[in-house]
Amino acid sequence: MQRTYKFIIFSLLLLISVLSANAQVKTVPKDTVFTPLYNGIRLDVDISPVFKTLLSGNETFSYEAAILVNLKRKYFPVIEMGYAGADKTTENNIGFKTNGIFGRAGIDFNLMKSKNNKKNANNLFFVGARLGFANFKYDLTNVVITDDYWKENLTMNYRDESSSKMWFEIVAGIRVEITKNIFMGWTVRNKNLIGEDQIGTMSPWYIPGFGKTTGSAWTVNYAIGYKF
Amino acid sequence: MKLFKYIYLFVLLLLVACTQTENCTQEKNVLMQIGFYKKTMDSTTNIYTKSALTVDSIWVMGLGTDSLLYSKKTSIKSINVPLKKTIEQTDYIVRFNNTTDTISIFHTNNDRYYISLECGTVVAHSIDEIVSTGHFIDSVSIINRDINTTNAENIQIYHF
Repeated sequence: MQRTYKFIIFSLLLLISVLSANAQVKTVPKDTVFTPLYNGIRLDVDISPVFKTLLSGNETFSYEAAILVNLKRKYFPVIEMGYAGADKTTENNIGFKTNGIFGRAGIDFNLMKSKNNKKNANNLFFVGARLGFANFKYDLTNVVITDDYWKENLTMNYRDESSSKMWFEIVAGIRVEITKNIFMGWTVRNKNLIGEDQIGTMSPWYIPGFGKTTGSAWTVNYAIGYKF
Repeated sequence: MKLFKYIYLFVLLLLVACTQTENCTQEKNVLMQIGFYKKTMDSTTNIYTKSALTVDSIWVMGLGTDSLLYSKKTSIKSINVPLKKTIEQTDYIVRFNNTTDTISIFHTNNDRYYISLECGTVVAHSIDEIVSTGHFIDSVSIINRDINTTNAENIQIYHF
């Protein structure tokens, strides 16, 4: 919990510093090109599942896409939606299965100064923040509980356990315009769960949109984007 | 060419993120801890004082089984015993030195006490009531109703 707060404070400071950096830019004499408020929208599709299934097998999957609005080439409010899940069997034959839709909302700040040089004008180097949410169900099956003394044997199957999770993300990444209106690049995310499950209560091993359940996690997305 | 550098970096990060062990290393035993105490009355102030009691020899068996939990174990201040996981009453026959008592624990079972995916779940208990005979035992008090994987004293048995 303390860690989560620390991250939130840290990222807020980061955002403030970015904003103030941008504010300073505004005081520069107006010999730069005028940038309108609205600069179109971009659709990013995450293609990292292709790499991830090659590397980690079929234990987990996650597909996602994002829609960003380009404001002043600096601010990019973003909505991300996805579908993710896991199907895992442990060494003790305990099964975990889930799938669900997740959503994230947030904003990116472009740190790349827009040059007059048109070739690189649309490339981005950004930092940002997200608030993620997932409401999903999961199954925990074939949990064997034995008691050697009382000679008891139980096989438990917990099905349709519902869970709601919220998390906070700090993101950074790049987008390069490879040909006209088509972008490629990666996004690194540091994810921090908000709230912790009490000891002993049912808890999902995997959270759609977040990943394996730990207090803090790092993930990478690789995106192909199209600017409309 | 810049692009390849980024792809390389990305793959490297992924590989780092993919190492985990899958063995259960957490505590899975759920035992009720019983501590032994004696009450002594100060003859001048008439106030009872509690102190830990070391039992010279103890013998414990669950009612309905034929195996012993403790077999004439000497010099003991507390015992740890398992409760039934499918039935909500557990009875023990306890022999303190040469005096025998029967203790009945009425409890509620929780078969959803989650440890981790590797370890699964265990059955935790909540003590509702304790009834015992009074040969060696003077009284029983519940200190901590919740019995789970944490090591804590749950009940105290008093002997005069």
